[in-house]
Amino acid sequence: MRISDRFKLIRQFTVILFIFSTALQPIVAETPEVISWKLSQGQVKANALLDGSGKYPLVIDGHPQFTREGGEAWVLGGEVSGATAKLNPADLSQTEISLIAWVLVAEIGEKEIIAELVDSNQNRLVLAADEDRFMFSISSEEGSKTARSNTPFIPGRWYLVGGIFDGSSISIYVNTIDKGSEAYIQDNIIFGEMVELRIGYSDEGSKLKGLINEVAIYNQALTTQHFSAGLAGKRETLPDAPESIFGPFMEVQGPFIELQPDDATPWLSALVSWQTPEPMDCTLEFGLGAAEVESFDCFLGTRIPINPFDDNKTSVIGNIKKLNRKHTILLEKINPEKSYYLRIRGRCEDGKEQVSQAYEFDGQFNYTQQSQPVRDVPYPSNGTDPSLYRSFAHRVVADTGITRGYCLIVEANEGWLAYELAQHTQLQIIAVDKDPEDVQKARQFLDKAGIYGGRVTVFEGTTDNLGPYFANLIVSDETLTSGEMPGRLSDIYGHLRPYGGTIYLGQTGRSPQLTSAKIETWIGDMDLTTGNTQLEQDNGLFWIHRRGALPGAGEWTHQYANPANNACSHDSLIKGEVEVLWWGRPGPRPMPDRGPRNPAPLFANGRLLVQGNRVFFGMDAYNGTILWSFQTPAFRRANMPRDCSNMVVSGDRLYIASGSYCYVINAQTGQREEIFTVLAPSIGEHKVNWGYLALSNGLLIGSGTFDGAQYFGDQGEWYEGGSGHEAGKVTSEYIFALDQNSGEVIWKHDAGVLINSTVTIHKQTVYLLESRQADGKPNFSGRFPAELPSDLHIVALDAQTGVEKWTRPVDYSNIRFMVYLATAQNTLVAAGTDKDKNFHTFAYDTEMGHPLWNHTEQTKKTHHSGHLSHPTIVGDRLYVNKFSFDLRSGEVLNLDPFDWHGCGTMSAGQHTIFHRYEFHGMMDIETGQRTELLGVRSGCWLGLIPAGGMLLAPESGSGCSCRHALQTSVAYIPKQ
Amino acid sequence: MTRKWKEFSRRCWKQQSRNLVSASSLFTVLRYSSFRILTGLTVVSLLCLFSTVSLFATEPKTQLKTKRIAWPTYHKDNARSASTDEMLKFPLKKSWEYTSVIKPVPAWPGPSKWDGWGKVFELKDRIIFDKVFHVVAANGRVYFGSSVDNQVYCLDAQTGEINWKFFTEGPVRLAPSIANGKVYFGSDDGFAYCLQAESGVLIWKQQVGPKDVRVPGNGRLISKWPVRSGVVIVGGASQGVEAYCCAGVFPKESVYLVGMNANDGQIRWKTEIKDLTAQGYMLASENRLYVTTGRERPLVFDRQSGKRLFQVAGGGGGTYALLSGDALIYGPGKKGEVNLFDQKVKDQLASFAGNHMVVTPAMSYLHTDTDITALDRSTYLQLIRNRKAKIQTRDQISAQLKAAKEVRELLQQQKELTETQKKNILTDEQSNDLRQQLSECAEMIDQLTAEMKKCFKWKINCDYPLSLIRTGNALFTGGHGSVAAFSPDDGRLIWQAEVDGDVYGLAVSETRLYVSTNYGKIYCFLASEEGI
Repeated sequence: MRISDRFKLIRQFTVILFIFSTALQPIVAETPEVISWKLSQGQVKANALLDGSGKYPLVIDGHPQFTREGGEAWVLGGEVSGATAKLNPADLSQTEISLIAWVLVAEIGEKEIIAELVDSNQNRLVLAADEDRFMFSISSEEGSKTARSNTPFIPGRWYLVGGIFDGSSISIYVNTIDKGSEAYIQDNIIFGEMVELRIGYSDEGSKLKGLINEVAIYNQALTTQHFSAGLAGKRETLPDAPESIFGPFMEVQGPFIELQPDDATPWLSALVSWQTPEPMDCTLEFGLGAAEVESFDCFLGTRIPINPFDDNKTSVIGNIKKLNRKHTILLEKINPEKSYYLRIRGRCEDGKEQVSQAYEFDGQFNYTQQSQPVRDVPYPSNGTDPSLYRSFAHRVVADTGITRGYCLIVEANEGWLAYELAQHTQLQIIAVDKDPEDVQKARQFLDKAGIYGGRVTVFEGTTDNLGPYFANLIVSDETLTSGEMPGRLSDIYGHLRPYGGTIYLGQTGRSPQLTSAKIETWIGDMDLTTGNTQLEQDNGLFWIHRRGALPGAGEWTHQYANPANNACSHDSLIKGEVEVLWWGRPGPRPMPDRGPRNPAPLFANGRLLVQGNRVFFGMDAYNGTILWSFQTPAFRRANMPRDCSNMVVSGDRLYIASGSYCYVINAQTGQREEIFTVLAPSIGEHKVNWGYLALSNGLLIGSGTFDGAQYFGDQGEWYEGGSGHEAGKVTSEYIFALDQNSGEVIWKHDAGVLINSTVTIHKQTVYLLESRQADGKPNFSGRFPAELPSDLHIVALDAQTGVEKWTRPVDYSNIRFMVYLATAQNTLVAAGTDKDKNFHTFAYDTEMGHPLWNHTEQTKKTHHSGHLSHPTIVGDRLYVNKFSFDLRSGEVLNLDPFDWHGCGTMSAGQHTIFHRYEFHGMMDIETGQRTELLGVRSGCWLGLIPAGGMLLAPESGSGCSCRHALQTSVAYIPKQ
Repeated sequence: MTRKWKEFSRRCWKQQSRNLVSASSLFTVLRYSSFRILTGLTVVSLLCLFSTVSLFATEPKTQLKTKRIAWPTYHKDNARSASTDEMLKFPLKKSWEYTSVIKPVPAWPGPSKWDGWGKVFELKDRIIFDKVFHVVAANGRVYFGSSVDNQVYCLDAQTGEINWKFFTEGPVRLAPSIANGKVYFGSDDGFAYCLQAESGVLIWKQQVGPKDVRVPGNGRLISKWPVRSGVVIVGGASQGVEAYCCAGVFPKESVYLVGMNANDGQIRWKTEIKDLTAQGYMLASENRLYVTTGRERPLVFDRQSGKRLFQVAGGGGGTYALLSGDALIYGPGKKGEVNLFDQKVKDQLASFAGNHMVVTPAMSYLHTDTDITALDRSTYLQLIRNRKAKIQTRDQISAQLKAAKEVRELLQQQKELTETQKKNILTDEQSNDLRQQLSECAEMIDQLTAEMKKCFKWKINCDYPLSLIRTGNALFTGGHGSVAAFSPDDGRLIWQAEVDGDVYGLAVSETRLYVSTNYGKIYCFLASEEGI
């Protein structure tokens, strides 16, 4: 059919009553619209939503959700998926066009785009909800015109909204009645060769939170009559905005879900705990099924918290129920193969009920050791007092507190000590003995006890073939019974884990055969100064040594190693050829898809802290033991190039930001120790979340980011593009400092809107990039669009007081994809790329902000995402965009000719740079020698951290359906 | 139907009736709408294997054989055919069950939930070899290794009582192999072992990797070069018996394939693999060894020398593999796909949706998450061959027309033609004739495709997606909490039993069915004295 024929038909349209069915009907009338999309589950085929003709499928980016009850509609909420259809410009009229949608806006935002037509001629037709009005705009290279509705819309109601261009003006219709304003345009719209219809994206402003039932394009300027016809009977068929989708939700602290094995069955139990904002009577609904948004596929019932242990009880309902803030529930019979959903309902003292969003947790994520009851198998009496072993095992556990990880028993004899330690700990015990007869006896006894293999393995021989650093605890059966030290200290010391691994050798009794002289001889000339040694003579003689950190080992406590963002741990040990130290869980399942550029793992005090997809792991970095894990369905952050991590560590305390809170977690046990609230949890009616966080000199630095600004990466995003929906920079309205232990507020700075990815702390100064726009109007989207504002300043604040040290206006208006700040050696580096992917690098003196040098160069790493790389500073060298610069002078020292494959960014130790090649990869800084560690691939951001003398590579390639042979967490050390 | 098609079809059937087709291994491709079409292939494909039978050969009608046949290695033989000619009389009755104190602990946890970039959901687990204690059985004994207590067990097949146990220093994740009165297996401790089958006494043990280094791996202190390939035994009493296995996980540390004298464990040759892992059951043919490589595609080696020959081409890899003649079938890739690799042409011929396959001379049975399909390959064979020829013809004509069009465009632009280009000039009449041929060819391909659909003898829904083996009179399938047997003739359900756990392991030996589940259970079901 020719276009002219279509116009004839359009003129002949007649109004019909709308009959809701799965068949596609014209949106407003029996008008032969050019294209119409019903946004329902039934129209989804593969990854596309089909239009009426099947000619223009809307290709879905992400995993769309649809309402199911009371009619169907596409759910757009926060960072949900979008869809794009490529159109033929020949099918679109240049003189008259209407863009129509049935839409329900759940929450008022700023320029929430409903649908837009964009083309290669820079034309853009946008139908949007802007604050409480609908708007339609047409923009081109010549400028833009906007029509706005006259009356405010009501969130939660359905509207038929149309943007109309009649050849000379634009207007907006809302449910017939509100014609809205008009704006006049002189020319026809000359569409370019590439025209797209986009739904669900936002280059700027907020993302639409609401429902869309249908979108259509007409080659005609529709009129009031058309809209009247379209309205007839339709609205009643559309679904309500379910509270369970859009809220308002009660924000709880948590929930935290810890899975535990059930001894007698293959099932698990799930301990669910959360804290409500005020004392409440809570119930928990839970169910099973696919990720549905409205209701659980299989409702498994309601549970009531059983252990009200809150100390903030404020009132009593009836005679028995106390209202609490803290709530805990044990869900039983959790199937380890299934995913579950839960929702919390809380009733306040005044009877008002609130509901949380629905959370998902996965029954597979059980990382506790499989329960293995130790059978009571008395060892044959061979003259040894049974209490000897029991009391020693008690003593060791009490003194060291070591109950997880690996225990090495040297000269293990018949395995009695192993048996006792297995009963009192969750240690994986390696018992070594040279005597084949003793080995065989030990195996048989331990097998009878039901713990051979799973808990205790007996090796025949010496410890020579055991790897380094794996043993959290080293003891000796022989020393306990005979008072003889096992071999020499140098034989076993290498197996001891740094950062607190303990050798505990001794003999109980008033007159032990073990003597100090024997111990001294045994120690020989070993240098033990980096550790802590004790000789105890309480009911025996015991030599106890706790190993310290490896000299030269670095830590990785923040996203880019440290608050200075220089991505260098200064670990001087990891270099040269490396070998595998350990490998194992977590594997790919609990990890987020590799694409969305996820937060980096951290290392401190010998522990590796790993953030999965809403599940966190505390691990022993030297042997891969999972010390603890919990699921936190609400905790997630992505798109690190445009935001900051939600996780930092200091010593034994892990800090995680989620929602309005910062949770302090004991890094050894996973227990929650503190919860801090963001300084101002709302601005006006707008909720504020905890944004940036860092630890520096006893201070917890935080920032306040508008709710909805942070990325989650749940839809398979790669965030490589330069448009606003993926390149929008997450911002904060203010930055503040708390005492990291007490939570006392130290200072607050709110002079402008700051960019989270730029906050950098170096030598008692906080540096950040800040916009101080004159109108002072808050940007409720919480993001700057792809293009940066023109009034940016680098601001230096005193980290202890928050007082401004200096500011410097900078022009980064051409920077588009991302912007970073990093510091080292009194030099502040800013880096970003423009729309043509040219890297712009600037260096300033940190003292007063004087410019030192700048450099512009096309992105050198041609494999995808090279244009997003974060700078790395090692000593006096800056590495960015495959160049190395003299940090202070800007002199180009080297251009790396090798095009690194992959999507990650660099990390560095003192001697080595790590990066994803195809697999894990590294480069010797001095020699330039490259090594690819075949087998496992890295993720798409920073997943390789050099720390503790190791290269730590928790699984980060999850979701890659490519053929890499392995998907596992792994650690490497320099070849021994 | 066009006249040409009718003629063609008649020729085709005539040819079949003369039993002209025979002998060679053959892979073919067809369109079959009920199968999901997979990556890179426009058609769904099926396997036609080594036809040493006539085109009209059919499965023998069920005749119960009293012959007792051993199941001496994982999936019965070194081809991992999962197929035995033994017939079990139904109904089967539970004879005994063995329960491990601790359920199996697989080395590798499950796969990612989805591929965000590719929008691929429900990714398949590509590394499956130790979800259960897989059993082998021979001479009235049942053997299995334990991933939890580091031991190899020998049970009495009649009673389920433990005859003997043997300790190693690491998890034993793959089933042993039984040959010549000996039991062969590998352990995560880095050693290959040989025991006396009757007593469990150690005959030899051999370190496979370059040295004995124990580090934390998959939650246990194990060798840096664990043996996770099984031990394949080739040869018999009358010839030299060879044992083959691999050790190693990380290509970075190198992975090793060894050929050993099965009598004393002496290493004859050792081949270093520097780019891939070696995990999953190895396979062997007369001249070759096949190493499954975790998530990747299998590697092929010369059995005599250990020389690496090539890596199998094609789709997504995984640890599932079986050999049928010259065909190596492997998977499950991203979403459950069985890839067909022809060793003669060193190319992947096809890929289609499925988790497992068993093959007989006349039939193929394809097992997906939801169904089983039986294919009469004999008829299918001729059709697919002709279809392939037609596709080639179509492509040639298309190329001719395309070349002629390009030449026409050059002439319109008044450009000079090369001699080769001049040969591509077609008259209008020639062009029209070719277009006509093209049209007929396309029509014929469609007709052939339709005919090929008729080759599928039956298809049934099957709620037992986890494992599949074949006996002379049944297809046994394992599911979630149950096991079932279907008739190979028509897909009829013959027998079903409830068990605890997911059935990833099935074996049939000497009148018994062994069922292994992920709860650490091994069930023995005994065939009836009387029955079908």
